[in-house]
Amino acid sequence: MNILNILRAFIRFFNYFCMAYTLLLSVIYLIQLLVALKRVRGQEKRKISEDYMRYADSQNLLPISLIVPAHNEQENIVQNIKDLLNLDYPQFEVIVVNDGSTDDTHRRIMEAFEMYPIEGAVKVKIPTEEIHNIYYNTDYPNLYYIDKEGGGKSDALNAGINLSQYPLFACLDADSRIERDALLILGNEFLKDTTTVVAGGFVRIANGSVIENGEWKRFELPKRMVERFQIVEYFRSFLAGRLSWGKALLIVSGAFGVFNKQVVIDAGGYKTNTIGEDMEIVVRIHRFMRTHKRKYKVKFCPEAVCWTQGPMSLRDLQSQRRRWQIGLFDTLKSHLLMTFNPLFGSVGMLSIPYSWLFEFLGAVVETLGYFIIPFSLLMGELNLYFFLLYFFLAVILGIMISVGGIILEQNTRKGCMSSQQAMKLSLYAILENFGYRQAITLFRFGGIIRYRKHKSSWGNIKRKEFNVSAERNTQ
Amino acid sequence: MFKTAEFSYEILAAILLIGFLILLCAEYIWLYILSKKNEETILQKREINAHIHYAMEAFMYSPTQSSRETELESLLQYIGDDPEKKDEAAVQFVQLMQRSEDIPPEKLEALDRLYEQLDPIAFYAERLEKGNRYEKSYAARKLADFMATDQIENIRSLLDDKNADLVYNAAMALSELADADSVVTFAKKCEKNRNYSHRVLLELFQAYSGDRAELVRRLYENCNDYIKATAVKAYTPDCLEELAPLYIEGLSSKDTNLKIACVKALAQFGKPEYEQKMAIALNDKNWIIRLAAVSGLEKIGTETALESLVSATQDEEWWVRNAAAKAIVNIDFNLVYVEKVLSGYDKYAADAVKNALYKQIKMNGGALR
Repeated sequence: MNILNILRAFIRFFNYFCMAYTLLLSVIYLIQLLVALKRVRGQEKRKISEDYMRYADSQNLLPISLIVPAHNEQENIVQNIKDLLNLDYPQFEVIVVNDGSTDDTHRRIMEAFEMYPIEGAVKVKIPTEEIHNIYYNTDYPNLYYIDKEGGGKSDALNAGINLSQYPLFACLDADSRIERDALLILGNEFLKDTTTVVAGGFVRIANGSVIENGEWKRFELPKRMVERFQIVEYFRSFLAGRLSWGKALLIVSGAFGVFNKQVVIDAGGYKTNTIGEDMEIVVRIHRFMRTHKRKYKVKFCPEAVCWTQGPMSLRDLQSQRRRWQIGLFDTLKSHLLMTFNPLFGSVGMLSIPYSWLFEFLGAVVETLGYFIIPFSLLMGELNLYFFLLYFFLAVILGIMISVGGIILEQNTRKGCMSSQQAMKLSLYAILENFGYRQAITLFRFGGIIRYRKHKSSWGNIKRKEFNVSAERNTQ
Repeated sequence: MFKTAEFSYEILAAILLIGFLILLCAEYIWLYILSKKNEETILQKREINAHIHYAMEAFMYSPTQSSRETELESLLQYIGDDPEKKDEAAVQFVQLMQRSEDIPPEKLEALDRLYEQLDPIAFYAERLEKGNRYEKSYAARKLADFMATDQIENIRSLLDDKNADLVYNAAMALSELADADSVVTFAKKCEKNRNYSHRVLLELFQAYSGDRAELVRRLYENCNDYIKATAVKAYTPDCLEELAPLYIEGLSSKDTNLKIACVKALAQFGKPEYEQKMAIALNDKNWIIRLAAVSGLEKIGTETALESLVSATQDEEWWVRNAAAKAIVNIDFNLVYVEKVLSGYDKYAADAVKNALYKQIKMNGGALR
């Protein structure tokens, strides 16, 4: 009898806790949105006097090494390299690192660029798995290709850093396309302010959009619902979420970010036994710079755009979100010391605790809520009126945040979407509350459960060639 | 009592829900208006751009004076007092002027007339005076594009602003307008505040449209070694021979960066009279200076320079050895010095030359040259 009472009391407490938690999270998101909106407005004003294009022909921009780790990327790799070689940037090199691909990636690169092995000394600043060969072709003087033993994305990035000769490097996903001026925008951040150590671009979902020869032409809504939901989600989570954190930003997308090479080397390079290397390296840089009391800035520039293919099926989406959650958990666990540690300033006192409480625990609390709340409703432990009130409030807040994300996008990149497309997309801000969000929460929860099993491996998401979407849309 | 409380609680909650619903509707309306406005703005911009472009082309290619007048009238009427159109017209005017070499003289007169009527300097001067800090920055750069020297005083006043972007843009504009005093003042400020990277300073110096040698002299008189080194670096590609004495003076500086910059600047001349300086620099304790001296000797390319390069292949630093070996392979057409190193006692020097030869052959598809 007593146990039953305790159980009831627990369920009742959990119901209220879960409701308060989700509402609090929504309020935090709304605040983030407002902060991001204010920042975007400020950036818009600043754009009048921004003159990064004046630097387009200047030799004074810091040269950048573009490191492209590739693992089973046979569909896109050749076209992606060709696009990268055509970027608007005065001085850069492209280093493609084949990390033990088992498909045709190696052969396609070798044939497309007629590469031959070169011998030369490489100063190993960060230890990596064995490098089979380094390839080069004088017809492509700024392209290098490393073929190495599989060691994960981080290891591939470290190998690229070892070979790179320039003071800045950009990590790029082999399945992504960066806009022609994106590097100029990020490169300029390092010029204007010498304390900049990391600058991240905005990763947008390319599914549906017309991309010809690696260049984004126009926005189109993708056909599948799962892809449309992701577009809304990226605006909400990445644009609002990242802009609002300012200098305390914990993650720069692995698909597109520029780093000060020496700082990354000083911090020890990419951590190899993790799949959340993009977040881990930024957190480690925060830790390193603050421990050594060095002035630094981590920046997010939404005008520098990178287009990436979002998963096209629920299965791939599940795999991606699991990996993200595992990466998050792994990073937070590795840097547990920073949590609520005033030595690390806003990072230790705000960003990391937020990530623990809402990004990590959110998946657990919400998943438990999906089961316990309906159960208590059935058992009569929860007032139906109260539940409905909570439910509608949560849905309205959720829609508000997502629509806010689209508004933010409209402020960041005017004219990318037509008004009709924006309104259509906002419909998905409503629909995502009935199934998609819950599915994402469950996928994230799955990531926590399977943490040990999938801690360090490349993720395999089915991709297609970029230009296929263009053909499909122009037909 | 309890029931009333519960009732009012429920009412309150319902009001809250309705309040949020209203907010959501307002957000949707906001999104609609914003996206419509964006769409219109983009279309309008394209229309303005295209209209001015075609109007300017029509003006330029009108066969007679009277038809040019008609086109000009129509263009000016279209622009009116709209600042956006004026700005676009000014931008396109600059683009048109950039190809002025291809324009026949009678049409240049027409351009003068267009310029008079557009009066971009007055337009940007007004923005410089009344705009916000971003508009001021933009106006300053535009005034510099039009070489509005009468605006130098107004732009100078921006150098004291707290906003770094505005100060930077003002300094760039003043440099383009050849205002040496302001460039020196700005450079002096950067001596202590190193937030601007040295590449920004390079850009500033390279934008200077006046007497560059004179500017370097003034920077040498007024600024510290960091600024001196940056100025030397900025003008190294210009090969300003009149600065050679300053570069030679810099060789005995205690500041490594200045020393490196001066060695590289002297090396750029590639003249045998500086060979001795390079040979001395080859014995510097700093390997970067030795490396710069190697590249200087490579440019000079005399027999004695080759002799010095042979000794540099025995340098303790890998980079210097390899650069020297590469230089020898590049300039020793008879392979006399290549053989000398290969048959010498220093294994590391021979390895460096072998490596350079190997790379050269690889690069040339199997041939040495």
